[in-house]
Amino acid sequence: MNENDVILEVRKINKEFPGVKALNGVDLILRRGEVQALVGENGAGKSTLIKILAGVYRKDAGEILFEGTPLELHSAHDSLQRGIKVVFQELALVPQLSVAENVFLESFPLKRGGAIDWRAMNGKTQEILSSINLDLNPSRKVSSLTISQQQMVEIARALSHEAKVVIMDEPTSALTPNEVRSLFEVIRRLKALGIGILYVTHKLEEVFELCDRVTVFRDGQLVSSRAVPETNTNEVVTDMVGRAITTLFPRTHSVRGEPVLTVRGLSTDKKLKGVSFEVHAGEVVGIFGLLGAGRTELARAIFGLDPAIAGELELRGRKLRLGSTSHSAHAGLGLLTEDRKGEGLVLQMSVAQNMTLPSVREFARFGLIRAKEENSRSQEYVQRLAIKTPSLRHKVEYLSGGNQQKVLLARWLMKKLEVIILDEPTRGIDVGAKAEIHKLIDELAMAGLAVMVLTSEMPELLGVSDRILVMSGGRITGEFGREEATQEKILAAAIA
Amino acid sequence: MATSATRGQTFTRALVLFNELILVLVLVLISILISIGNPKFISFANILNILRDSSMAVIAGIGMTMLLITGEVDLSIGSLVAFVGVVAMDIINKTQSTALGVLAGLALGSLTGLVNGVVRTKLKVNSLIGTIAMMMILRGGVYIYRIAAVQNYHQKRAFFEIGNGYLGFLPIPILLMAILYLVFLVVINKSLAGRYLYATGGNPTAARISGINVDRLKILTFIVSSTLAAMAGVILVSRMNSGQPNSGQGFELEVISGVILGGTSLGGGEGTLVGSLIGIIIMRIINNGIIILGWNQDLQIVVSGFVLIVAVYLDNRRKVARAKIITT
Amino acid sequence: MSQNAVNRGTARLSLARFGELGLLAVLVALFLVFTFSSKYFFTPKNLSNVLGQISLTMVSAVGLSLLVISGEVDISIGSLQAVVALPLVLVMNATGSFWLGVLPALAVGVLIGIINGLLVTRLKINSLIVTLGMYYLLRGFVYLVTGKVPISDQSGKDLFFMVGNGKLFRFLPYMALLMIVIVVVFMYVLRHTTYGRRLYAVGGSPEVARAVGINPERLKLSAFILCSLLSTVSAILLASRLSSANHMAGQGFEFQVVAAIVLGGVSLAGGVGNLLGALIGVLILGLIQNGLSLMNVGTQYQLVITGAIIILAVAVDELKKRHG
Repeated sequence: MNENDVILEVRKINKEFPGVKALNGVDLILRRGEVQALVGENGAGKSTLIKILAGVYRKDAGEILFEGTPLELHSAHDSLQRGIKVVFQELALVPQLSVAENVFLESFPLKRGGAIDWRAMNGKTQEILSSINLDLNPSRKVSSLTISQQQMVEIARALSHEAKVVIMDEPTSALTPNEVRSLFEVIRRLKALGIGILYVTHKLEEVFELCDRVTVFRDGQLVSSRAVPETNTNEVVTDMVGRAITTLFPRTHSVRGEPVLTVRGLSTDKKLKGVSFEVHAGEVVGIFGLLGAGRTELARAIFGLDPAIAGELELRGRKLRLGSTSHSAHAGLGLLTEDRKGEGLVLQMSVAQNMTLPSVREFARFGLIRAKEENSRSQEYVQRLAIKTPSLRHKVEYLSGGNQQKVLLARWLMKKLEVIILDEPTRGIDVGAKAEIHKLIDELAMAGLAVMVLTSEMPELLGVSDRILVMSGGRITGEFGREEATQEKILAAAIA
Repeated sequence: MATSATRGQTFTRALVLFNELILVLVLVLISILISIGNPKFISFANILNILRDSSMAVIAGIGMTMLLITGEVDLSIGSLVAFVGVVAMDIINKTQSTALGVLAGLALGSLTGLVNGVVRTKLKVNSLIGTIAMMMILRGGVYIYRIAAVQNYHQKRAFFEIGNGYLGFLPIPILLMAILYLVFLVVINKSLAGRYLYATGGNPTAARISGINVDRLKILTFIVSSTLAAMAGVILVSRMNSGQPNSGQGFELEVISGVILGGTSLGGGEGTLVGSLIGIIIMRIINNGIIILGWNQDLQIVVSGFVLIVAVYLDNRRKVARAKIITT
Repeated sequence: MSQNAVNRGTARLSLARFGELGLLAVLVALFLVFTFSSKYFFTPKNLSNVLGQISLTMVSAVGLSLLVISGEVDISIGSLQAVVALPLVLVMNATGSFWLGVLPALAVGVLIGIINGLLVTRLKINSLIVTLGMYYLLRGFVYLVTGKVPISDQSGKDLFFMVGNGKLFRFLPYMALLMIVIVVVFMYVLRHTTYGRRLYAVGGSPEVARAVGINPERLKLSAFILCSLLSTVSAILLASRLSSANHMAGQGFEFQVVAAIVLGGVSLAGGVGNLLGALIGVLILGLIQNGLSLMNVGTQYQLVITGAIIILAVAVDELKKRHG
């Protein structure tokens, strides 16, 4: 092994956040011209590591060696200067500026005299776009592009300057199969130039098609790093999960009742195109899709948070008004949002107050809330769900993520619901709490509710669902029963 | 537990935890300072004066607090107060009925609140900009209605009593203020509506999902707030004994500065009537002190503007400090 | 796609262009309406007056547009006008020199811009509230210092008088010439310099800008300073027209400028808009005011109309945001 081959090395990196050890003594080596995949479950540490390499986070301990010399990164700008280009999942473009301006945002090409050289900038941008087979006018405002186009523009930006290391975080999550092929070609070309590439993904098929090396993270540690030809999917998955998948999800078999929620031809102006399906009482329908497929949009449209331009909703045969959250809530729908802090919890309110929010009317006489009733009911659920909180009056923002999620679940359990939609119910939650939440989902179905679980985690999807619907591009592209569903079939439908 | 390295950090942590206590201390401190300059400040008569003069701002402050809790604001109350005064006086002149005049004034307030609410919820115009625009519309409107002040041609007793009368030793404005304050104290802290206010301001999406009709709630809050401000306007016109189109200038500033000083956040979801009361009284004391110490009256606006900036800065620090407390 | 088409600026290709055409149509319509409804409208004297008045507004509007594009706002610029007139007139009266008076005025203007900018960028206070506080604070300060009595110009300097009142060929006010120069210069800066494009970047997405090495705080601070500086220039012009430092100068001016630029497509959210649109917005508002006073409609109606226009302009802006 030639020492000069190593372009980037990371030694004993530690990073802690309050209450969580995100990275624990991580060592990693990246060689020139190598495409290395970083895989692992959510929260395993991959994103944290690349944010450190990008200069967004500061490491607590450890060393970074770039081309043999130690590197201290103080800002995103620092790492860019060195030649470390990162393409994040969250789009880092300025929507109001043009494609060319975004690609050259760091430094615009100038004419003599200081004015921006539009011709050169647009021209060079056009070249880069062509090299990744992207047919776009460089003067177009980024806000007018589709998400997949925007993602490609981000990649174009990474290519606009001299890069030595390119790091990509889930780059294909919103891309069409053709775009994915173009991207792979680009990556191979970069490889040939000797650039080192770190490729974070949850799509194992991409790992085996494109990458030279696969490195697995689990619970903040690097578990294995193998050459791709010398390993296989099972090995990688075992390293990722650390245990056999099937035992995680205790789905008790339940009786499927009559249809509770019927959706017909639901369309929104931005994303959904004529979605139709049914959910029965006592059934857990898992909804899967990649980034941008429309899962959350579906949840929001059904609940009425976003307006729909077409479609019908029926609850037990009765028509449900679209676009009205109060109607949906009163009809018996519940929604656990993806972003629990931003959309689910009222952070300044207490545990009890958050729990009772949709049901608080039941505890009121003459418009005044009876505190005793409210508290005793809340206490019931705190015990039932084992929510760790010093008191009911504690402000909910001080609880851990897992307990916050439980408070939200308690909220919906407390209300008499017909349908519950859970959007990414276990995101960012540690494994122990995850299992508890899955048990609760099971209980909900057993109680006769129609349950929809939207998730991007394959093991969860496969474990929890009675029936699986796959979305892509705002449509339902696949439906599978529990027994016939496999990861491959689901993924195939998801990129259709 | 993180060590509070700087005095600044400790200060802001204290601010978060003991907000109201600190405010009372500030109030006492300023009072002491002023009374050193003029001992008459602490007299019973002057204190009653201050409370009576505060009554208008406090009544308007009740509404403003509720509005801020839902995450909105209303800068038009100054112009509204002037308009209400002019209209009320005019109508009493014309109909010889105090009740009608007062009702007309309150109705004007409610209507303004309705418009503000609709502009915010249906036209989606940011309430800061929208109510600034309304402030201009109302100010122009009152001058269109009447260029010169409307004098008191009716000499109605009831009208006079509103602003200048007494119940025993208690001035009527203080009584009105106390009643309204207590009623809304219960509403905000114990009622369903109050809970919904906090939820709407704290997280509108969560409120929506829980079945709260956020738009309707905001419109209602605007209406209640403006009606309360109109009530303040009625008291004012009674005390001034004439409806003056140029009155109310800077009123919104005094109320908002006081409420924010008292701990109600611009971001929504937080605030207490107790804090607002103390904050407004502090503002009033400062203004009263300026007069009593014989300083130039124009200093009032300067100080109010300054306090607004300081109050918002403290509000910011509070938010940051709370975020830090969570992570320890 | 031809190279030329590719090279055209971004504004040409989106809803903004549509919006500008629409505004232009409104402007032309207003012009025709007023020409037919009042025989005094289309006269050299009146048109020259209008030009003069909008020059005042436009000079400030350029500065405010820069700031709003960068994502902040300043509603104290009217009170600023009253404040900077003080050193101008006082020094002029004392020294008899126009330029010696201009210097401290500019200095005070820049200082206030720095204060506003630091309060917003360092202390992280919302710019609308900070400048609202300044709106009151500065106005109160002027009242205090002048005792609500205007300070008239006793230097009798021709230059001072000419700046605000002089006309080229008896028609084109010097103010308008100055305005045109300022507009052209800053149009160039916004469109063709790195600084200008960075203003858009910072207003559009400060985090992204920061990630590529742009310092949003420093950029915004510079925008606050430019805004105050240009408002100082318009204050000097105003003082010239009033021949005094008046404590009521600029009352309500800031809201007019905000209304005008929002009408012209400069979004209060930041990152959007250009000076051409701002100019059209200023022209529309200026024409309305002129037309109304010719019809003997009082300033109270102008206040109401300006308020209504603000609401309409922002509402339309919001609609565009949600469906654009």
